[in-house]
Amino acid sequence: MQVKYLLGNEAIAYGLYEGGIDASFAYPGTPSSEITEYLISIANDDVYIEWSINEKVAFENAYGVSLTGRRSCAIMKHVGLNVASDALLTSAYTGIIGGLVIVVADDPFSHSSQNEQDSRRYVSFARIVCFEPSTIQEAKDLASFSFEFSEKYKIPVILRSVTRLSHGKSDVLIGERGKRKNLSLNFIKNPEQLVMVPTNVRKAIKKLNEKIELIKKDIEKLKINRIEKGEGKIGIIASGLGYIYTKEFMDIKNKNYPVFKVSTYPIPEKKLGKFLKELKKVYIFEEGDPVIEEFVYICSKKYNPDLKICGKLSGDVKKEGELSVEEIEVSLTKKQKKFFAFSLPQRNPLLCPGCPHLGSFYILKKVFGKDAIYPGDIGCYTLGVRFGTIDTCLCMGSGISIGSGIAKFEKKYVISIIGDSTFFHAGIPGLINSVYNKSNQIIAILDNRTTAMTGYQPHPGTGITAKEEKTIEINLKKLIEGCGVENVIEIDPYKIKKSIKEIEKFKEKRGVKVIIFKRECIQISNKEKKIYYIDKNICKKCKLCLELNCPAIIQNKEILEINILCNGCGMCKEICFFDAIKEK
Amino acid sequence: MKKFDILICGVGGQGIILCSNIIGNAGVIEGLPVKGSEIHGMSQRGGSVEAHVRLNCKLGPVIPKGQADLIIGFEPLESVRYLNFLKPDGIAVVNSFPIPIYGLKYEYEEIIEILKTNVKNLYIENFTSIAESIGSIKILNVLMLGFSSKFIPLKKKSFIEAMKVLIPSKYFEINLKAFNYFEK
Repeated sequence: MQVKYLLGNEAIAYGLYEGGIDASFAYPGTPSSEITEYLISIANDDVYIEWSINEKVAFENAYGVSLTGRRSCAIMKHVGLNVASDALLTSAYTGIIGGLVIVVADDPFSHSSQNEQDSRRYVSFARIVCFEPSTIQEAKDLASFSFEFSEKYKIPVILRSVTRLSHGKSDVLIGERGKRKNLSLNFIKNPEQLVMVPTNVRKAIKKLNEKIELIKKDIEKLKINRIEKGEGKIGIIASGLGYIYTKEFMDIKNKNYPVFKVSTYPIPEKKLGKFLKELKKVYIFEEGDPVIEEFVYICSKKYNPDLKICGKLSGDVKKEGELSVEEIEVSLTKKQKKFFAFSLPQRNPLLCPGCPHLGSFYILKKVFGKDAIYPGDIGCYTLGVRFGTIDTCLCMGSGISIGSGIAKFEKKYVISIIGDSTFFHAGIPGLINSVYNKSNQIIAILDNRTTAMTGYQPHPGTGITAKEEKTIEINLKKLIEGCGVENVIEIDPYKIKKSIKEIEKFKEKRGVKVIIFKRECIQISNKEKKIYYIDKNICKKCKLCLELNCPAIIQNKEILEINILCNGCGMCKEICFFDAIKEK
Repeated sequence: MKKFDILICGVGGQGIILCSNIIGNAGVIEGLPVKGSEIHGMSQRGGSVEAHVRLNCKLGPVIPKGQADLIIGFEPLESVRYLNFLKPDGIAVVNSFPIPIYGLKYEYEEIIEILKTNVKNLYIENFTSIAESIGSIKILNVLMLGFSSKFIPLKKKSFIEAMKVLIPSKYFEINLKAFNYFEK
């Protein structure tokens, strides 16, 4: 036993390890990515760990491991659960063998996501179980406990984290890796359980419903859902960070409301009813959808029909974004506290100086112009929205198919933009569909040899596994040719003039055309760094270099300069007409 | 010891997370409950970055507004952005060296004026140029931590012990020099 200062995701990794995990599968996604990275550093060779191609594949692998009796885990961000959901929903029907945990990190306020969906919604949809911790210590403890619970009821369990938990930090008491009783660790044929043909489905759904009733009874006994006594007839029901913010609010304001802490879904109805009976009014603080609140409405009918319920549905708690101590105060006191704030320019994230995407976008704009349509995708390059070269961002892999749809009716050039990791994740079916159905579009794959946005994780195109072992490198060009694309070119986005010429040559060809912009991400490139400067005496102030949108090139009054952020890619030198940009 | 809340802010790439980790680990070394919060993801791309460290705290990861005892601001405009977290009698240690915002106007004098009129206990220095004079702008974080450490209720040896764990040994000497720079 030892106390360490840990990131929430690190604590979850410790919890999974202590819970006896045998195998872990994940696709990177903020705020969940570090769990896998920490698990690699914590676990010895006794845990199999991989970066999977996408969340569905990750979950199916984990399910496969579970069928051999071992404990496995699939880790993803909230939107990844949608990708895995096809397999997840039916896995509840079949049930599992070894403990199967899905760690899902939600992102209220969309710090780095395309939506704010609430993973707890999958509990009633899939008829599974979810644990929701409020603190990092609890996240670690529940990660471990999830395996036990999952195995006891042979049901997948979701552990729900959120950004502030995954990227929060805390002193955490860590323990030893748990040892399990001897199980028969083999795949045992059992088609009635595992083959979901209609006759088996009908039996499975009945069994699942019976199982859920048993689980509900057991959940009534779990101490992680608890009533904390207080004074008065106004009570608070809270989960996740809502609970900890409630505690802090009461601490600051010297309040002592009775509190019901919800940590499981299904929510224990009888325990909740006991709490509701004593109250006149109840506030509900939960991040995401009003999942608890809706259940309180149902329960109050039976246990306390006159109860006043204050939450997101009633308009007493704001519906969007994250909770905070301040938000709890606003809801409870109806007073908006004023904090002075100055209107300041936003410091938005940018593509790095030397980012190969800057070159790719410059080239595409020069060849196809601003009016071309650029369906986009998810990755660093989504930041291209600022340059007019990203026109959509919906979900992983969507750009190519959206582009196909647009190109069926639009006469303009359609250039779908997608990154290498995203292409492997969900872009390939869209590409094949595009070829098969005779789409007339250009697909630009920005291949920076890594999953950059989430922290440079490897993917099938890199030839490196999660544990940094060598593996077969999937060759993008061959893969795309194998999908029936006749016009594929591979170009270097740093070589701007040459690339423009090559694209000009093939842009009018019919059908699906693919351009692979291949150049390693500047953050992982080991190239020796050169530094450039603009010679004031030669510069004609034509401002062509500014069109690169490189954060290192700035205009100071009328003078153009390269600042200390320069990473020495040399793209600006290449496009300068007057040779005014020189190496230092 | 009472709870002590520290907010560290600046721009991605300035070493803010490491700075917060040294404080947090130093707290745990002294046996305190410590909570904290970071925002990852887009931060490396030059965005605005904040990290919270809460010493002797058993509650949430995020400092409520108006509750921070200390702000360590690595950049003047970013320091103003998070000023509403500071207690009325709180301390702000601010680096006066500005980082321009790409494509937008930056009223530097105005920013410095806001700091001077709104913070009672303000310590403002060009820490970037001091870091350069010591040998590298990469040690800006530990230099500012060294200056701020006298306001933080932790022992010096706990900071040093935490630095030993968190900083690769080949960079330890220069960081130690930075940490001790303001010691007379």
